[in-house]
Amino acid sequence: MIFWKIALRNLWRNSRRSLITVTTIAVGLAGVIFLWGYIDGTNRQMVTNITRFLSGALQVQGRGYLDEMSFDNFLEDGPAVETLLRDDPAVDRFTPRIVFPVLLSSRTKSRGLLAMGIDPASETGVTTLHRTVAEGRFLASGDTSGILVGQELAESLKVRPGDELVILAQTAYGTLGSTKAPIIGILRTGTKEVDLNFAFLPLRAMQELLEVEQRVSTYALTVKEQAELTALTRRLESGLGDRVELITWRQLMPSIAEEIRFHEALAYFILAVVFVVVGAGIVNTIFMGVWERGREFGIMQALGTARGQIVRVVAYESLILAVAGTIAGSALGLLVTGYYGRQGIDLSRYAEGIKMMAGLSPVVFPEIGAGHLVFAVAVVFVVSTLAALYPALMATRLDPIAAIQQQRAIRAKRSPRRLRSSSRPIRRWVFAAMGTRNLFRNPRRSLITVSGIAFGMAGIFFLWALAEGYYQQIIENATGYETGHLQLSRAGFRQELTPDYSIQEPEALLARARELPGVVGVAPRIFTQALLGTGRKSTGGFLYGIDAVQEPSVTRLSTAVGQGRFLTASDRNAIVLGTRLADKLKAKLGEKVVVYAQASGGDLGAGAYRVVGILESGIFNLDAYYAFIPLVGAQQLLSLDRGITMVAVRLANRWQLPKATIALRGALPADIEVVPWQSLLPIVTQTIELLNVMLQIILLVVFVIVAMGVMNTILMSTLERTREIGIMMAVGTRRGQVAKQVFAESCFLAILGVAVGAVVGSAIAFSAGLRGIDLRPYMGQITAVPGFTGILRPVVLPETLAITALWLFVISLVVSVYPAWRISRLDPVDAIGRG
Amino acid sequence: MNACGVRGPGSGVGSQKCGPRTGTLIAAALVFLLMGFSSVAWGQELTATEMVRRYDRLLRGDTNQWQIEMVVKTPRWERSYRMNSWMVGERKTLIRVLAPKKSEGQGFLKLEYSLWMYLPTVERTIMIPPSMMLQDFLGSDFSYDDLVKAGRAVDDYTHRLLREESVEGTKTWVIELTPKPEAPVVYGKLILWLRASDYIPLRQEFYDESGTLLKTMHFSGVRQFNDRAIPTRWHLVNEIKKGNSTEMTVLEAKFNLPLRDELFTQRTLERYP
Repeated sequence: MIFWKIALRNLWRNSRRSLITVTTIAVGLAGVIFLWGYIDGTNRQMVTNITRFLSGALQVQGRGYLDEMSFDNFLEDGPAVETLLRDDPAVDRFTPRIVFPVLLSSRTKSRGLLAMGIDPASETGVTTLHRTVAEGRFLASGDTSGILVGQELAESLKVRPGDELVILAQTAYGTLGSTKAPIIGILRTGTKEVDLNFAFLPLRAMQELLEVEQRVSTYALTVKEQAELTALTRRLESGLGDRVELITWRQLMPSIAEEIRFHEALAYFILAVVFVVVGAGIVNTIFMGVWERGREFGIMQALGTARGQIVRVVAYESLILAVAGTIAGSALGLLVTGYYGRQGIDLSRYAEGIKMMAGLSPVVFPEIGAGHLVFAVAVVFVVSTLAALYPALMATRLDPIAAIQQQRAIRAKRSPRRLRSSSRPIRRWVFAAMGTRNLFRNPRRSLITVSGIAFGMAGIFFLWALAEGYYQQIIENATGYETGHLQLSRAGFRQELTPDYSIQEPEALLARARELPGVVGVAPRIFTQALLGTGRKSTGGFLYGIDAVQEPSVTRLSTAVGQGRFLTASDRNAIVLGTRLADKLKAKLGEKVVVYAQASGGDLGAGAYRVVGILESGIFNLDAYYAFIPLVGAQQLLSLDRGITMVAVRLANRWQLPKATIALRGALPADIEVVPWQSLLPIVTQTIELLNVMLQIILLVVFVIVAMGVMNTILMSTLERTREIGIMMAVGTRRGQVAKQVFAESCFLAILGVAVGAVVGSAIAFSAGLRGIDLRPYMGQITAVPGFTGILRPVVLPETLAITALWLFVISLVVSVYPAWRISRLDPVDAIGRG
Repeated sequence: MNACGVRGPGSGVGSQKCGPRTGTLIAAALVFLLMGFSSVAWGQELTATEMVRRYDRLLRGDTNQWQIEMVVKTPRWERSYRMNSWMVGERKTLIRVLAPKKSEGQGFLKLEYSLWMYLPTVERTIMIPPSMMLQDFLGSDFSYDDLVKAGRAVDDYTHRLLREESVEGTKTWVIELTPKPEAPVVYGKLILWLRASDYIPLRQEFYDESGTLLKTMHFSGVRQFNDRAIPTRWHLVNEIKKGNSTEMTVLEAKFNLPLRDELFTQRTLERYP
């Protein structure tokens, strides 16, 4: 008990040191708690956003309906499903639907798409679809007719609210059902897939059209807690039997599910780095606090205190500090997290570029789970407790006399020089010289300060390099397989995808594009929607006609062939299929696939092709929906003569994009659209934007933690020297001179720390870049995010290094102003007495 | 393709050897037509392609005009249609649904490879898009594609006489039809049973690329219409979706009547009744 008392009294006697240590622990812990809550909040918000968008968290369908939308696979017993859903406590809300392919026709055009019959009243409880209405209104409960279409579809069909559309579908009895419906609203969801390929009508109207009486194809539901989804799915599965299939949002939207899973893995990796930075900051501060007490320990030992007793006291002290720090930190962390958890953090305010899909919220509500909180507290507590033991052991190992002498010796040596320097005119750099000399006189203290700054620097820089590496990889891979950096096509082509928007005589255009600076590859292509069929199966997909000679200058498609080979210049009736597409068609190498597509002039084009290769790119969309035939074959299929429909362009690197876009727009005819990859790959763009915002916030918090750490280290190292400073002032050094000297010391330490941090950070990032950080064990195989392989390779950029270094240096200087000012205000007598 | 339409070794000598024989065959065909397809056993000397051509000509003539009943059966339901059809060669077809009431007046117009449909309930004509081509025609086991490709048994395939078979005591040719490499045909091969005496089809099997039997058509109920006898019951059995079948019955058939081009226009398609 006596040791506890001594420990407490020690802490109380040097309240400033105790306060600094507690602050460091508290700020670090609070930062970690907030970041963890923020990361969890972001992930939860993404899931909520995406499930509330259209799919719901879970869908109940007849078995096989997802693969084949036929009436045989409709739900058999809707009321039974409803009863079960209503009685399950985990289900928040549910809504019945019919999703079925129809042909939608305006006066001038028709288009095949998915119609969704919805019950407006319950639908608005499950999804946020009603918030995406751009024109007109949403469906209302009483509506028996009427249709909602996406904006892009409305533009393509050239229709406005009030116009009538004809809906045509095969009924449950095989007949052709048709009905007229006025457009009552136009939706702008922000995702092209929905805006172009969906139409919504009242469930009753859909049931009448399809002659299915009261039957539905699907129930979409939301859950009260995301965490209950798996258990709920299992429960419903056993309750509903095997005629029914339960499909989670992860299965419905694999690319988004993987994106979120990746976010989680990356965020935890970042969090681990933050933990290291916080831990290092705490260890630093505590080291400093204990080391500085060498003389005190020497005196205690000289008075007969046993070494073990001293260590015990130090251990108790640090235990008390750790308790205080973690309590304060938890309180602060929970307070901040709680505040933002209620207020929300509006991401759109932090990044102008962020475009959330309409109806979705860019506001993140941080919330920390109890388990995460306990983990963070435990880690910080253990680090804080143990950090004091090492320096205590080391300090008490010294011979007591040496420990006492050492500090006196330093002062004895220093004092005469001070006297001498004050008798001479003061040179400008004398404070700098004295500062550096002081630093080398107490190398341990300097080392700790430098390492504090260096750790922060290295940590921040490494995180940045990690993000940069991720951006580069995902962009290069995503653009490298399909899109290229830029695409050229005639205005309107990207909406219609028909050969009526072809570029005839493309040679001049290709030649002009090829000559532009920054352009390293140009590939002519034909791109169209197509129906692919074998005797047994048929499915819609996308067809590329590519020039086997020029394509490799833009994409690495040919390297992604898993079976067989890629197209060659001599091929005519050859086809390469994505592996999932081939599975769906049950087509094997050497077999025939028939392709139907709309030819130029509205005719039907049809052709037969032998499968020569199966593409295994690992990119979900590419493998599931794409087929490739030779350009000449595609020209024949679409009756295009020598025309093409688009050009893919590769640049030397992605930074050339803005310049090249302008150059291309200037050099090409006005009706040619120049589309950068950002518009071609919206999911990649959005991933990067979201990650960027997340990273900015994380870096901001880490900066605060590091800045606090640096300030505490400098504060501690300066304030521990009150006695020394007091002596200096007593012998005639003026306040301004003291302040200048202390400031100069900080300057020097900051430079040193930043330099060491830059070297260490770059070295870690560089070597990690060479080896790659494999996140796959934490997230499973990645296939749906275009271009991402699951291996991160940090990239060292001079700009980010310079920016980080500059910021940290400035922060170090700013935070050392206070201790310099503070110390110069000391009363010399008081200072000497206290020390 | 040479005039004989025969591929492979032995046919390479070309049109010189082939020409005269084709002439003979056309003459023979004329004789056949004039004789009302009396059962003269000439077939043995014909090539497989010629046999298929005969069968095709028999069922289609230059033009034809039919009234048929189509019954679609699935395990869940059954529905019956009555329709009229007009056909000129393999290029132009007009189909008008007469019953049931719900579908009455619906029309389908095929011009070359394009297919239009007219829906009287919404008074709209819609071109069937490529994405719908492999869907069922009125829920039957025929696809729109089958409709569009009807009559291309000669041009889109190479033909090989597999064997002679005796079906219920009748001498029958069994012919294999393999799609030409560039022909946009979804089937891997077809096997056709033709009665040797008059090339009336008895059975046709549809296979996919890997050799799985997809569907089988059984022909029966041969009946005389004017100058020719044709099978009137066409029973198509889906071998993949068990329990699904389509039975077509020819109620009325007229051949080689002059049909005006005007019949095969969108205007006619939209004029009902």
